[in-house]
Amino acid sequence: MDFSREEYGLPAARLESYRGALFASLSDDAPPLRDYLGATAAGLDLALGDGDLIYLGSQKVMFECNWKIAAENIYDGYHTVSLHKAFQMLKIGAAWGEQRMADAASYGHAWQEYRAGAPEQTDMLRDTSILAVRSKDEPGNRILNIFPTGIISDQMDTLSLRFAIPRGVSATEMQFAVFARRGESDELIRHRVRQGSNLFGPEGFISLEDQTALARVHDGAPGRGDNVVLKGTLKRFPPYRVLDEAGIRHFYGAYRRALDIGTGGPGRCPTGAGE
Amino acid sequence: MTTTVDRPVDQYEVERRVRALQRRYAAAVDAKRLDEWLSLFAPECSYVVITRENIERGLPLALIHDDSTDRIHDRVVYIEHVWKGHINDYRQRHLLSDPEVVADADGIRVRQGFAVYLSEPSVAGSRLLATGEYEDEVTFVEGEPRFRAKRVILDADVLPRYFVYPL
Repeated sequence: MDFSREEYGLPAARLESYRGALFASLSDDAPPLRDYLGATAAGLDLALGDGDLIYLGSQKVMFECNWKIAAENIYDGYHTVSLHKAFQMLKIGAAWGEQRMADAASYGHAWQEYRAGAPEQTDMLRDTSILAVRSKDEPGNRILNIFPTGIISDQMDTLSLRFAIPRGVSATEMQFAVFARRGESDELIRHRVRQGSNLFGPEGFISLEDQTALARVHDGAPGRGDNVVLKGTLKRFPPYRVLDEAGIRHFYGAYRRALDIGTGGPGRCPTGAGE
Repeated sequence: MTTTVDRPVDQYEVERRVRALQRRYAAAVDAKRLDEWLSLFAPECSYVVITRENIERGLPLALIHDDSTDRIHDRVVYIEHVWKGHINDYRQRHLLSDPEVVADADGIRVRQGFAVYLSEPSVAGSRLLATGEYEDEVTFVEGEPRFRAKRVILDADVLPRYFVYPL
């Protein structure tokens, strides 16, 4: 009997690129990439520019939580001021801004666009250059989640792609791939390496706090009874602010639609944040 | 280099003092005595934690990139004043291998393997947080050995969880 190689082995992934970023899918049913990205593509335009980037390396760490809780971290802007003691102590403001894509029509992506307030001088730190923004003329910061687990972060001078890889119910491997833009000075690249390591990396002054909180949320998630979110930011229609709950509702709506598991009943998990 | 004039002439004495420095470093960080940890660095110094994977690929990104005394100082402020009571705390334990100490006209270089175990509250047993190698530069300051550069190279590509205290 003849052995037909085509009938065995690994399936070929569909591969498309946008602004230098490669997207792969094992599904023949997935829409074309541009359709999938929809209006979120404009956020990638801002973050990735012409896509001509220099790879500075990766950091990889296990988040001790389910991948969906790791995803919530990107959809939720409310935690930035309430969780991040670093933001409070260094007086970094990240609360004012908007969620651009929290609508049920998209495929579940998130796009948080915000302006960080200039950090005030602090006598707490001897070296505040870690907080400097040197690569941008405009003060825009953005973090996007391409549903379900692709994260694009362009915050201050740290440009990174993050990949959340579920390794178990309680374990999510998070990879931070950090970039510079072609043509930048050695000094700016050194600054990016410092900030990408010490501020926004998994051991960074800011991102370490997220991992602590996510592990605790994960531990608390199996608790009995209904979890009621009490944010006091009930805003039912766009444009949504970074502080609003809409993003997380939006994520879980897309998740439930993808798994075809219904909406969980009225008032509990709407399919779209605006409903 | 003016800071090396205090260095002992005898090679064995240099090695003995370097071993003592590494022991004291491990004891200080395991006991979370971070002011003492800070005191083991020379006035101009760096502290970097980076994966072997990034080094082998020639990539500069690190997990910790404290390339000045001020940044090392700020790390202590973070651990003790920003993260304290806020992070999921744990105990750690360093085990050090026999160091290789090279002292010549260029300075004192040390390579030493380490393992750091992690013990968390109410969790049975301890687990490995990291293994790797120190690639350090040591200098003598007023007769005492101090780190001019401490480079912590991690064997694993993926950290099993975030760490807080210096490795």
